[in-house]
Amino acid sequence: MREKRLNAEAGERGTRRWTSAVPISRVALGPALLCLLAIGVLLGGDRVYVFELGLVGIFAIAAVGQQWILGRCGQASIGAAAFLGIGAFATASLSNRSWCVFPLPIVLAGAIGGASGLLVGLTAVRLRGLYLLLSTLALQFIALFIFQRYAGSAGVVFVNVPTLFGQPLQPGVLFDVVVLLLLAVIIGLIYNAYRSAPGRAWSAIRENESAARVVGVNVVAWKLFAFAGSSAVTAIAGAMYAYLFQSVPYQAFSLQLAISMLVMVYVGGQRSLSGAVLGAGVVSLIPFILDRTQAQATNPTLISWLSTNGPTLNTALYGLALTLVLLFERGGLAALLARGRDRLLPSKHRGAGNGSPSVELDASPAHLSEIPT
Amino acid sequence: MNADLNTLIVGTLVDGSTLALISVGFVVIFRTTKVVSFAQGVFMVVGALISAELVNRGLNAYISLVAAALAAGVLGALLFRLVFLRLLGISPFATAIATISVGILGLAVCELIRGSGTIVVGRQVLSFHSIPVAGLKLNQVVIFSVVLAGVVYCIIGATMRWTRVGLYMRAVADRPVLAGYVRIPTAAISALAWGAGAFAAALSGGSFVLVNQPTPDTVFGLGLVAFPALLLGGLDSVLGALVGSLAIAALQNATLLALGGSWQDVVSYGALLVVLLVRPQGLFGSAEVSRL
Repeated sequence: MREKRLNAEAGERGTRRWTSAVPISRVALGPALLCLLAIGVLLGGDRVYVFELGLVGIFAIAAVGQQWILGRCGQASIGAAAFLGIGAFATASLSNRSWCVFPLPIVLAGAIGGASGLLVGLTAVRLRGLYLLLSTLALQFIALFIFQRYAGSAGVVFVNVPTLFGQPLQPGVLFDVVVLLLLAVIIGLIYNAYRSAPGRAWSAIRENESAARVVGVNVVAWKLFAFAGSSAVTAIAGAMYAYLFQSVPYQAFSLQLAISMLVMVYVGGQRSLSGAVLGAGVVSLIPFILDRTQAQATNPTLISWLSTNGPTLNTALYGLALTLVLLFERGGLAALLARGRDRLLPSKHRGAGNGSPSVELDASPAHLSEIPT
Repeated sequence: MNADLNTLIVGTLVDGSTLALISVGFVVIFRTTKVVSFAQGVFMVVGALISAELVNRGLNAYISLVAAALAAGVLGALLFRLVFLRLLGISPFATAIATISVGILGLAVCELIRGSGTIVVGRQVLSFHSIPVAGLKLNQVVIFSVVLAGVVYCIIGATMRWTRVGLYMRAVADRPVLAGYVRIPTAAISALAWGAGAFAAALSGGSFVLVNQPTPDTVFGLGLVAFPALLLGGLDSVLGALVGSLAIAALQNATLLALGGSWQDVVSYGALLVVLLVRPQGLFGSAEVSRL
C-alpha cells in the first residue's frame, strides 16, 4: 500500500518534471534576477553599472564552478583564487602571442585550468574533508608564489585587447553580452549534467563515498571529472577577468579572493546553481555599494572614514553574512527565497518534495551533535 | 660557533616558540571539540592589540601580556558559546568554514576599532643584547620566548594528562553524549578548551608584538602558518605540536638564510602538502584523525 503511494508520488514527480509545472522561479531564480538586472543595466548604459555587471557575470561563472565542486560534489576545496589566477595569467600570456587569436586564449585557459584541477583532484582522491581543505590551502599559497614569480618585479602582466566584430573587447556592453552568454552556456551544461547520471553520482559522493562506491559509482573518476570541470569553469572566469581589467596583478588572487568565493557559494546557497549566481551578485554588490556611497557622499567624515575603512568593512560584512548563513540557514539565500516563495504562493506542488535547497545539510556521523547543553 | 648556525638556532627557538603557542591552543580546541580552528589568528590579534595598548599606557609588560591573554580567553569561550556550540555536528568542513568566517569577521572588527596600521609597543621590553650560553649567543628575546612556551606547555600538558578537567576533555572528545550522561558539563568543558586555546594564542600574539611591529594582518597570517607545524606533528598531539613547530621554524629559518624571505611561506606550505600526502596523521597524531 505504502509502496504504491510512493510509486505514485515518484511517478507524479517524474511526469511533473517534463510537463512544465516546475515553477520557473525554482529553476532559475538567480539567473532570472541577473537577466532582469542585465537588461536594465544594458539599456541604461551607465558605464559604472555596465562594468559592474561584467564583474558580477565573471564572479557568477566562477561561483557556478565552485558550487559544482563544493556544493554538488561535496569536496572541501578553497582553491578558487588559484584557478581564477591560472585562467587570468594563462590568458594574459597567450593574448600576447600572435598565433593565439581571440577566443582561443579563453579556451586554452579553460583547458589549462582543467588540467591543473585534475592534478588537485589527484590529491583529493587520497585526502578527504579537512585534509583536502588544508591541502588546497597549501596549493593556494604555492600558486600565489608562482604567480608572483611569473609577474616579475612589475607584479602585473598586461593583456593584449582583442577585437570582436570590429570592436575592441573592452569593458562595455559587448563585453557584458559575451560574459552573460558564456555564463548561460556554462549553467546550461552543468544544469543538464546535474539532472542526469553524473549529477546523481556527484550527489552520492557528497552524501557518502563508501555508499556511492557500493552502488557502483566510480568515485575516483567522477571526483576527478568534477575537479577538472569546476576548475576549467573557474579558469574561464579568470580569463574573462583578465580581459575585463586588461592587466593581471598577482595580488588579486590572494587567500582573500578564495574566501570571497566561499562566501559567494555559501551565502547564495551551496546546494543550487542559481544560489551561486545570487551569491556572486550579492557578494560583488557589497563593495560596489560601499564604493558608490563613498563617491556620492557629501559628509567629509563619512568619505574619509569609508576611504580608509571601506575594504575592512567589506570583509566584516562578508564574515558576518557567512557566519549568519552557517548559523541560521545553511541553504543560503536560495533556501530563504524558496521558503518565502512557498509561503507566498501556496501551490499544489507544496510539500511534494518541492526540491527547495533547504535540505538537511551535512548530516554527519553525529560527532558532537547531541552535546547536552 | 658559526654565525649563520647561531642565527639559525636563535631564529628557530623564537619562531618555534611562537608557533608552538599557537599550535598548542589549536590542539586543545581540536582535542576537545574536534573543531579545526582557522580563527586562532583572531585571538593572536586581540592579544597583541590589548597587550600593546596596556604596555603603552605604562603597565608592566608581563602583567599586560597575561591580562590580554585572559581577555582573549574569555572571548574564545564566548565565541564557542555563541557560535560554535550551535554548529557542532555539522560536517567538519562546514565548521572549518565557520571558523574562517568568524576569523575574517573578528580581524575586520579589530581593524575597524583600532585601524589596520602597525602595532607598536612604545618602549623596549626585551633586549637583543647578546648573552652567551653554552657556546651560543642568545638574548633576552629567545630566553623569554622559550620560557613562556615551556611554561604553557607544562601547564597544558599536565592539565590534559593528570587532572580531572583533562580527563573530562578527553571524554567530551571521544563520546560527547556518554560524557553528558555521566554529568560531565560538556558545553562548559568545551568552552574552557576554547578559552585555553585562545589564551595560548593571545600569549603568542602578545609576545610577538613586544619584539616586532606587525600589522594585524601579519599577526593573523601567523595563525595560518601554524597549520604546517600542526599537521607535521599531528592535529591531536600536544607533543607533536611542539616538535612540529620547532621543525617548521627550523625549516623557515633555513629557507630564510638559504633562499630569502619570499620563499618562506611556499616552503612551509610545500612541507604541509608533503606531510598530507605521505602521512596525513602526522608524526604523533592518532590514526583516526586522518579520517576527518
